Amino acid sequence: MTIQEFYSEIGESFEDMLARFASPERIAKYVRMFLLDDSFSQLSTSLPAKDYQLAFRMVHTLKGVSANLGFMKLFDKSVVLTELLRNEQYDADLMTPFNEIKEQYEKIVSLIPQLS
Amino acid sequence: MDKSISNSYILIVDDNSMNREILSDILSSTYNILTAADGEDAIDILSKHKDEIILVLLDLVMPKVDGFEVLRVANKRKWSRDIPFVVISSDVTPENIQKAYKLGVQDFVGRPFVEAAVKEKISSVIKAFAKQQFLIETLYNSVIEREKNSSMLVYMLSQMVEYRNGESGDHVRHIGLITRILLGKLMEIDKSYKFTEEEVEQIVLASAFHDIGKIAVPSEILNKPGRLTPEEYNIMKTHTTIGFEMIDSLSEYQNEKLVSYVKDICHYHHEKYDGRGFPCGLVGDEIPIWAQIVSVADVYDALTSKRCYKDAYSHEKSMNMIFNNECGVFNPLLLKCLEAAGDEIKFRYESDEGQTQEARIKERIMSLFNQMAEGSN
Repeated sequence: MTIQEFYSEIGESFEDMLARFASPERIAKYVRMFLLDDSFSQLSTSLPAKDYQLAFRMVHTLKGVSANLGFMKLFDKSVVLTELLRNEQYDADLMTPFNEIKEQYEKIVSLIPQLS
Repeated sequence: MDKSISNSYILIVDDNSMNREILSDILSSTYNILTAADGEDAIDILSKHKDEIILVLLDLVMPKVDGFEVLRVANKRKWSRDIPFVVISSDVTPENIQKAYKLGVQDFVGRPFVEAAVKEKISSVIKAFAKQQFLIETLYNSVIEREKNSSMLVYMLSQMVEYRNGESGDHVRHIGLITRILLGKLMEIDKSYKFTEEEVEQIVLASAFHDIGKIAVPSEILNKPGRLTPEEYNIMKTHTTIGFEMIDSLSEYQNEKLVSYVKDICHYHHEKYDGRGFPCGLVGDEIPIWAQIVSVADVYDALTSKRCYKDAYSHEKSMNMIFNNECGVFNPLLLKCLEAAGDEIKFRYESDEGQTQEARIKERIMSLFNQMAEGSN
């Protein structure tokens, strides 16, 4: 799978990425680095453990990383949870936005190894 | 300023490795790159390589030491004077933006990163900052040159008086030092006293002339080791009025603040707050505050120095004598200032280490620039 096909598979715009970085190789390199980013895994343990400060930092990082990579759906979902945690709305339903993040995240991560 | 490109670095500070990677990729074709994964690391690298770093890209939200703390340290250690800081945080809430600018940040790089925009932004910040540094440096050099000349002249003139007096040139320097410290404390303690930096410099300069009238006092009287007779003492006292008249007879510059400070200080630096001083017997705040300050400085330095008629007293003993009105009555507000400034004065005397004139001028120019920048926003 080419990097271009990867983006169309996850329903994001490769053209936007190309406009930003001008090099498909480098875009592919950053996408592969996404697998090394542990913010999602730390989010998924810290949030149920109610370690909200860590959860905030992790979802905040995930938000930034997904924006960098043009994963706009993942970005939008991360924004929701980031703002809830930033405003310390710990009584709100945090798991629904988290599960939406999880769904997007897992879809992306499952496709990355297929990059040629 | 003279950082050549070959050994100049951009420091990227971000806890996220992908951000560091992306920014390094974007910038490494043009600049050398250093990276730090947190604020602590950044402070460490900055303290070791501050002379080679031409710009810092700084994330705000980081574990342990965050970006704001890095900025605070950078301000405290004066790194931000020589290095521009650009924020790369995606956390651009209005509060954060304001806070970061207040801490001296030059600009923000937008998220997500756009290669061309990042490159342009970095290069324009570096250029603008270099231009500003160049202006400050140029202005500073020309101001230094001029202020150096005028302070040399003042020093030489006042030395003429001190020389006849058998006092060391330290006296004039010490009076200036204490006058500066007391003025600062006065403005701190009582906000109704406001002096611009310019006025402070002028009062400090003027303090050097307080005894200039002594050139008209015979040296047998000036340097008499024993007690003066009443007649001799009366002649001695005339140095105040004579100093005033000498400057008052200048045909030019009478409207200049500096000249009026000199005249007041010559005339009134032996007046006392209770009206028992000379030559006019002014009472309380009839005595201009700058003359009162120089009077305190003069007494303190006279006590702590060796004179032909006495040994040097310790700082503690001199302070006690002043507070017990053994040298006449001073303005209680100024005694409060002296008390607050006591340790600083003692330290400066002992270490003989003041803020140098050069450093002061640089500080003033920097603050002028900042005011200018704020005015134009």
